[in-house]
Amino acid sequence: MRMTPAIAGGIFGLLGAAGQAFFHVIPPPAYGICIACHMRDLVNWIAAHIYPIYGLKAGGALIIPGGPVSYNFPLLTIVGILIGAVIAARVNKEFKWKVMRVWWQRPWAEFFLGMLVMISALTFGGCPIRTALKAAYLDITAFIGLIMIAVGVFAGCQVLRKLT
Amino acid sequence: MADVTLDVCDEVCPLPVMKTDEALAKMKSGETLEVIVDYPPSKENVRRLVTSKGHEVLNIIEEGEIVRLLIKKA
Amino acid sequence: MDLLPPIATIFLGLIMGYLGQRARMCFIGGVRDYCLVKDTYLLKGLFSFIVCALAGFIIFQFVSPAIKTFPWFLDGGAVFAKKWAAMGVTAVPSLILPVPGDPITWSPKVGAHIILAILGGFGLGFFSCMAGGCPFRQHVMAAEGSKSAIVYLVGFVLGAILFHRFVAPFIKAVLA
Repeated sequence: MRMTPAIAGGIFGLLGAAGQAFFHVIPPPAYGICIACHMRDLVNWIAAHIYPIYGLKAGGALIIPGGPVSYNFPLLTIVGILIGAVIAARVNKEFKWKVMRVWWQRPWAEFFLGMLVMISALTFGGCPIRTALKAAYLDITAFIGLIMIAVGVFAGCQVLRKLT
Repeated sequence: MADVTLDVCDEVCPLPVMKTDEALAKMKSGETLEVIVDYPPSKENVRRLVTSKGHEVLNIIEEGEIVRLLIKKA
Repeated sequence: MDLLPPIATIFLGLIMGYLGQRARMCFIGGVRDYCLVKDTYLLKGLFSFIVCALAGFIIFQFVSPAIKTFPWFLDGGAVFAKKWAAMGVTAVPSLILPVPGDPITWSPKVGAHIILAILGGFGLGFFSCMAGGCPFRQHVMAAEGSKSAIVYLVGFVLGAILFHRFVAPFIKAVLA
């Protein structure tokens, strides 16, 4: 059976809801799957000084500042995604070292785009996947966010058309 | 031999599909377009786009990693 | 020491990485393909995600009685408020805005959240479209061997550091 995005999307949705219900990925609501936030938690846990939870210095000792969930151990979603995708690529022989050809997808440009995407994602409060999860959680900012993401992609398409 | 050749190796979605669309729009009916891709999802993308717009995929040749699609405009 | 989140999320990540590589799943790609060539192949993935997440929330609500968090208006917000207060964070869900996005940029004004959502959402859509996909897709492509995507990941990490050093205090100062 060919794996289509519809099936994969359905499985992701159930996994995201399960992450909140069964796996204790809980103090931020709707946190089961998020690329930007879990990456931020991993970086925090490694660097341990980036995200001081404001107001938090219980009794003088510095509690390890992580995302509120990753006090003692970080959330390892990113590691899992990379390993899973490498396995899938190797198994299906789709692994190849390549560099993109167009100028705005060259490494130096992708570096800045990566920074800007992360900053926008943390400003908004999630990455696109978590936005969809929050929309399923019936959050108002998520609906506004989905509309604004669509507007942003539309603007990007216009720019792409001008550039080719 | 095809009338128009489009080489989109090393480019990922959306570019192959976008360029195929633009190239097909500029061609006359009955002409053939050869698209060279090297990214497996692009092969599926281009084929799906082309058949959904009513054009015909004449041939798909796979030479190792490079895939050539021969498309005829309806 | 709650070990369940890390162990569970690494398995979640493994499944997501494998399926994402096979199915070429991308959320931004769905909107982008629809805008460029009216192709709804990836957009169906987004819709099925939202529908299944909603169904999952409702069903799991009944299956696991320990964590009653959905829907928020049936006292779900209080669960989060208690857990956060136990950690000393002062982000309290209000009635109008029950789900705080992130405790960092939290403020009691609803308008602040909406402004942040507008700005952040637009930036997210525009820059992700230029980069070639949503962050999930970039991770999968980096695992497929694309050097551009690996540099993107490096920029991603630096962006997190920059955000918390410079942008977050700025936002708190402006919106407080």
